Amino acid sequence: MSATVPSPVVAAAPPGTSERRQRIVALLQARGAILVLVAAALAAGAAFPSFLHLGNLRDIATAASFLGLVTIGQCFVVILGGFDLSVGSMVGLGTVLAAYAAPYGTLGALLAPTVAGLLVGVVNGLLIVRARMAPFIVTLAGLLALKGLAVLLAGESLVIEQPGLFGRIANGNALGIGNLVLILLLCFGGAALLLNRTRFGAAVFAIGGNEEAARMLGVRVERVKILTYCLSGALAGLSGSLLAAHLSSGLSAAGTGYELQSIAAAVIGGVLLTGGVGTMGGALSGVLLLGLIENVINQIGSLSAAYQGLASGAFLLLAVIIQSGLSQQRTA
Amino acid sequence: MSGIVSGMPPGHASRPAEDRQPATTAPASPPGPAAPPPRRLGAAALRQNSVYIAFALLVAFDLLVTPGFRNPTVVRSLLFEAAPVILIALGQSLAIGTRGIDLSVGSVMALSSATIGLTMDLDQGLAIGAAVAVGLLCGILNGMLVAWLRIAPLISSLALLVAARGLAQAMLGGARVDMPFDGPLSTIGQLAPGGIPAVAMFSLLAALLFSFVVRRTVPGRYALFVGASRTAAVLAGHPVRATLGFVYGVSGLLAGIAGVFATARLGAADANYIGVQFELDAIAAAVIGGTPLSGGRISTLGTVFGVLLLVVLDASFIMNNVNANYAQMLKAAFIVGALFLRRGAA
Repeated sequence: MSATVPSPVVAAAPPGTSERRQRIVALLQARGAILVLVAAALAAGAAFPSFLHLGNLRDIATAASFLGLVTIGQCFVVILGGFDLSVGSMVGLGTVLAAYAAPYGTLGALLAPTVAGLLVGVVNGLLIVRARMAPFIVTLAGLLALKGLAVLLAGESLVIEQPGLFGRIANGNALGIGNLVLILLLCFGGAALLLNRTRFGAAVFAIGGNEEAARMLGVRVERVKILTYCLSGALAGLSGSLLAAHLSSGLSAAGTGYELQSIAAAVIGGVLLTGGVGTMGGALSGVLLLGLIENVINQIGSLSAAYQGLASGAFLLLAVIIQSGLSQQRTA
Repeated sequence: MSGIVSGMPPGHASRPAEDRQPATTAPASPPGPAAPPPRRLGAAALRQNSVYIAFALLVAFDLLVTPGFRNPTVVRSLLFEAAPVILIALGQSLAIGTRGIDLSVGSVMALSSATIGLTMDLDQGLAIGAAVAVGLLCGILNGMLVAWLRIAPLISSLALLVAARGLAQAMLGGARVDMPFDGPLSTIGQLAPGGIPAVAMFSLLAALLFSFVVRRTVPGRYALFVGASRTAAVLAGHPVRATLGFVYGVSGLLAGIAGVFATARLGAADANYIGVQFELDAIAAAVIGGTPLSGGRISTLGTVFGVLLLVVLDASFIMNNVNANYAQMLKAAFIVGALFLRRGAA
């Protein structure tokens, strides 16, 4: 229907020199977040000598790993053209399930939340695909329901008495950079391969770009959508499990706000909310940038935690304005 | 929209075939002719009025089962609670009508509350005015981001959600500022002539005015047109940007007033408490009430009843001693169920 209406901004054929400019703009949009991350880290290092210490950098990466796992899934969903608002509550529920499962073995504590997240993803996906309901509403209801379930199961918190191996997985220090950071990097690497080198990834891009066209090309849209929400749910569950291992307890309030932060991180990293565009490297930079802001505000001891919201919001706004400017450069 | 459709010349008019089959072409247009018309009509009516039916059923249930529901003070406190939510839900339905969304309303309420907390020692009337102005400013900022910088409303209002809450908390330093027991603010929080809170009357009047603006005024019609098709609105030469600025400005203004109401009712300015997750209730109320997320259509009465439904639902859970966590899950299931039944309703 809208395909028959010509775009109001009809691009005149650009002269030869602007082709290079187009390429630079495209590169900035995809990789700009990495540049900003490096620049911000250098600036923070110049302002606070303690910032660039290896220990501090490791702390930032470790703290960001939980949001990072969630952001991977969110990234897939946003590239697909949807949202998953249930991930934050799923992290909280994941910590609680891990705390329940921990006494029965490490494998169970890792698997139970992940499988639960997978099932939540199936329900989300089915409601969106079969019942044709808006992703926003479905996952919003998921946010409320999973939070309620988590509080119901655990009250405020549930302590894991003897974390043992489960605790060492999160707090250990293999290869000198911390297991959590290692897991985060592995997951991002795997996700980048999945997104860019597999049929599934190509289908996700295709659906986000134009669902009807993807369907006509033979992409099994329903299946890919459900699988993507499963991926998002499972990663949120895994993130919850690792968070429980890190804290040695299940907290029903854990992960609150992750749904919005993960969308923010993805958008800062160059994932377009309109779907069909995004990179894993950008998303990782977005996550680390949010972590960096938090860390810098903590370094400025006089600022209360309240300023963190202000700074994150302002930063997100700035990133989105720049993104929007770059997008218009590309199309105009 | 209807102008376009009615303006189109009937394609068959000049053909000779028109004489032979004049009647069969017209009824073929509604999709799904297999279902018998009377049943479809009934089901459609049920869908379109689902929010009123659900509200009536819930109130009937409460009157029969819930102890103390008939008490006038309960009704009064429910109305006090509903008043600010109605205001932000109206703004929300306007934003959704343009195919946008405004996630910032809850945080703008908190910012409005923090403004009162900072300025009420000077003069309470001034504080109220400042709070409403701050809400309007937030809305205009949001509208500029959406209209002129073409940022997705979800993201611009998300950034505002995070930033406004942070600013509000920073303004009050995380503390709760109690307000004095007399003065205009406490009047707003308690005045209820004839058992009906003044704030609820204000909200209902605002809903009437809102309905008039949407149905009968130029900005209101433009807003729906933009929601139906932004591209078409641009091509038709309508002032799309000004319309979007107006829409989000209204939403911010209403959120500012809602912040004043919530602060007055609470008896304190509190940036950590006021308006938390209210955006979710506002969105749910608007959508349950018959304002589709796909834009182009607004149901004012439905939105008001959507809010009343959610408020009474919350109260029913509390008054029947349902565990708060079960209550939250039941509410989520209820929202999904309501929207599931609505799907396909025009």
